[in-house]
Amino acid sequence: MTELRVVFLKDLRRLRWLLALWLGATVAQVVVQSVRADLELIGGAPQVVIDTVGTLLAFVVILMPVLLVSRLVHDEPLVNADAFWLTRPIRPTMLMVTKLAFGAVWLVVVPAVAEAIAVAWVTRDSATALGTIGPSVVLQALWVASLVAIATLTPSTMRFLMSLIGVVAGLILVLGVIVSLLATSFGFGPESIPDTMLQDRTGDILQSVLIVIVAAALIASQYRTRRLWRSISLGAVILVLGSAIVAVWPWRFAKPAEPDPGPWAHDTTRVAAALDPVVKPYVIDAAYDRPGRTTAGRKWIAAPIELTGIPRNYVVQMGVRARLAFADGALDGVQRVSLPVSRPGMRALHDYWAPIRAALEPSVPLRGRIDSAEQWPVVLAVSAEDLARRGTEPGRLTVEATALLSETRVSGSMPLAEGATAGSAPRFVIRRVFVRPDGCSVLIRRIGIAVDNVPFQRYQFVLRNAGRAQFALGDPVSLGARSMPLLQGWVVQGSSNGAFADMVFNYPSRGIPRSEGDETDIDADWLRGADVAVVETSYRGRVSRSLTVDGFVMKR
Amino acid sequence: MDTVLSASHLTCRYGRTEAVTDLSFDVAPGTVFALLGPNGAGKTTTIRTVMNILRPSGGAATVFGVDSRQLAARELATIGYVSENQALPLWMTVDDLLAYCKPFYPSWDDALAARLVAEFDLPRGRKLGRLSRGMRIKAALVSSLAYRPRLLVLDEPFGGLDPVVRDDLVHGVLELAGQEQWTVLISSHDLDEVERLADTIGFMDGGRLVLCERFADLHARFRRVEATTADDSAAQSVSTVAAGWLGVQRAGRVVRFIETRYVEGDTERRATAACHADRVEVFPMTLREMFVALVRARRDADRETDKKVPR
Repeated sequence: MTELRVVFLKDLRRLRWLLALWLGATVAQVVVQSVRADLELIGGAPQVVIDTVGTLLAFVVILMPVLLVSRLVHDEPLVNADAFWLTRPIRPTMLMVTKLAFGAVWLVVVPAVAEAIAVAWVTRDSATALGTIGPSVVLQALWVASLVAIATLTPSTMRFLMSLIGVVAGLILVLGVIVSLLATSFGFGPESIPDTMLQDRTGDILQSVLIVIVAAALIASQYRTRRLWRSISLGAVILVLGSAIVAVWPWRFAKPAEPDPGPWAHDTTRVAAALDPVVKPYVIDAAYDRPGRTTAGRKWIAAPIELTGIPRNYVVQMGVRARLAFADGALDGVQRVSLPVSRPGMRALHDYWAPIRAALEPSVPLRGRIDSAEQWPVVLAVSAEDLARRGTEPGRLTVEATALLSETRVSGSMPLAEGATAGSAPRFVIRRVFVRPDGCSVLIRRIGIAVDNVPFQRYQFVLRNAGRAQFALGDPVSLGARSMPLLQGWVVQGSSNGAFADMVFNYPSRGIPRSEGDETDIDADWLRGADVAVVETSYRGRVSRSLTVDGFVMKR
Repeated sequence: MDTVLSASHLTCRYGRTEAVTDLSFDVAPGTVFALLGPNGAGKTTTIRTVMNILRPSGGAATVFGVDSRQLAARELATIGYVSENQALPLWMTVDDLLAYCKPFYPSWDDALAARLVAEFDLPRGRKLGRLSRGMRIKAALVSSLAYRPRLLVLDEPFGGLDPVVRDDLVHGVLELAGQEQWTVLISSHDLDEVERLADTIGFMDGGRLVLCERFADLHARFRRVEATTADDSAAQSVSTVAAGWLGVQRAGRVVRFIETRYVEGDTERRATAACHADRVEVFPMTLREMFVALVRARRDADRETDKKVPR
């Protein structure tokens, strides 16, 4: 224990300023993230400054662990015959334990706690702050373990950095080769219909465990034997075997249970697949195809297939497996593409905005022309020759349609005033309201950890005047647009694991034109009675239906 | 225990290069063993193998009876190691270094450390990175002597130091080693300091131990001989080179060579006979002269071998 204490304190003494700088940057990043959106609304010099500071902090927070791990490991290097510690009575196993303990405490737990404290200060929400610790610890532990493993294979910081660059380049190369091989051998792309919108994290968890095992094996091997190539070989063997096991792992323990949309979804008399026989199918050049197969000459055939009986406030994403049989052959395929089609007298088939309108009834959109297109599923992808040969020939179309259903509903509302809140997990807070003569801008903060196992969720914020039974959609403002392109997402998302996020919306949306004769718009009087409705869209499950159409003609 | 350190058929390879080949030697307790040899002879590799920094490819070395591959904290707590190449923690001050090392050694002697720091005139509060090379070596020595190691291993510790610093260190190490009856293994290019320190000399060349002998014996059997003949032709006619004569040179009437098997009276007789000499003078040799003679002789022998090997 004396060795552990002595080496631990020595490392702490050596790294104290770097650690302080890193922890400071971690906390500062959270703080900058919390004020960034406010300055975004003000604009000008402060915004440029905060964007620049945010970018720099992001760099520091990402790169500082690399330097810290290098300093930590290379003070007693394992790949250097001139290392001071090698001839001192320091047990390698104890040295390894000390370094790992130091990394766990100062590079994993303490930053996570510091970040949680900063999040608590920013959000005034201790539950959310505590919720950041777990994900932070896991992600940071994976990062630090990987860095420590690579550091044990290198004698100095410079070699370490070069190795990191090499590892990243190698991974990109290997992934590129694997993806290319898979693409040319098996093909993938629009052929597969997604089974669900739920995320199965089993693969991610297994890969994380594999990273930890490989890192642990490298670290243990290096500290015990200091035989570089033996350690690298051991790590490579474990990585290859582990990857093979992960690839064929049968037990999907982290796959969430598929939700049931409700009894109505099982009722085949209520929910059925239907094709409008009057409307002509839509033919378009294929936008993409299986990798390795050119789209030149390929055509998509989209048809107005819909599932009837689905409540109007549901978003439907449809994939179809279709077969068009002729007397002397057949065309078939699996597609999950849908196309926006605009036509006179359309019924807003699978219209993106229709569920929102339904959810907000009896309010109507302030600007009318938001139902500008229908979404038709592509049923077949055929060659131009097939289309020319078979295009006008009637055939029997057999379709198996699978629809992923997401319910849209108003989950809460906030008066249009600073400090108004809605919801609990996540909680939404209106932080700023800027009223303009022709509308307003609203800064909304989401507070709460995004939980992976919660079925797919999306929130939209609609400005509503319930008294007038009107609502307006807004345009989201892209935050952090002035930061470096590479870091824009990172800077806005921040490192607090999504504990909070700021969003700015300009109302009314400029992207939605007024209807003809629609003179109504937002003014101060309209805003006085307005609130912000939180419209939640959540995945509710899937339904599948079959449809057979005789006499289907691709090209009429 | 008869030996503190022992190497038996020790071999060490770097890839395909054999840095040390079939090396065997023993270091007796309380003696100073000096490994000498030109650059690339394998001295540092030998020491690193003995210290378990490198693994032997063949053979074995033992320290205090423990296989070098099994050297653990218990043994290392009684071994002092200083190398010119050693990477010291340069961010530490001298005091930091000593304070850091102290808890690892049960036998650490604060008084001895303080005495050595004072003797070596080390600035206690200055970072090692800001010290001169000589000062750093002194600091490393203090950190390796303060726990009174039973074995002191010095790998080229004084290379490149100015004479005053070197003298300080040699004096300090000599004095302590003598007082404490330490066993010392030293590799060095500095033949003068080795001459003062060493009880036994191991001469390495090309990864092999060419010679391993007590310094007193070596000193007794090596002589520089100058035989003067009556005329130039007599000197040129010397054809018989006796066994043990190295580097035979002729200059005018004088024939010079190194006698490696000196026996008083006998060497003079053989030189007189072989060189047809009128006068034979015999001079004692310094370690430097012996070293140079051995290296030259070995290189001449290698050249001869190369000539004979068909290509």
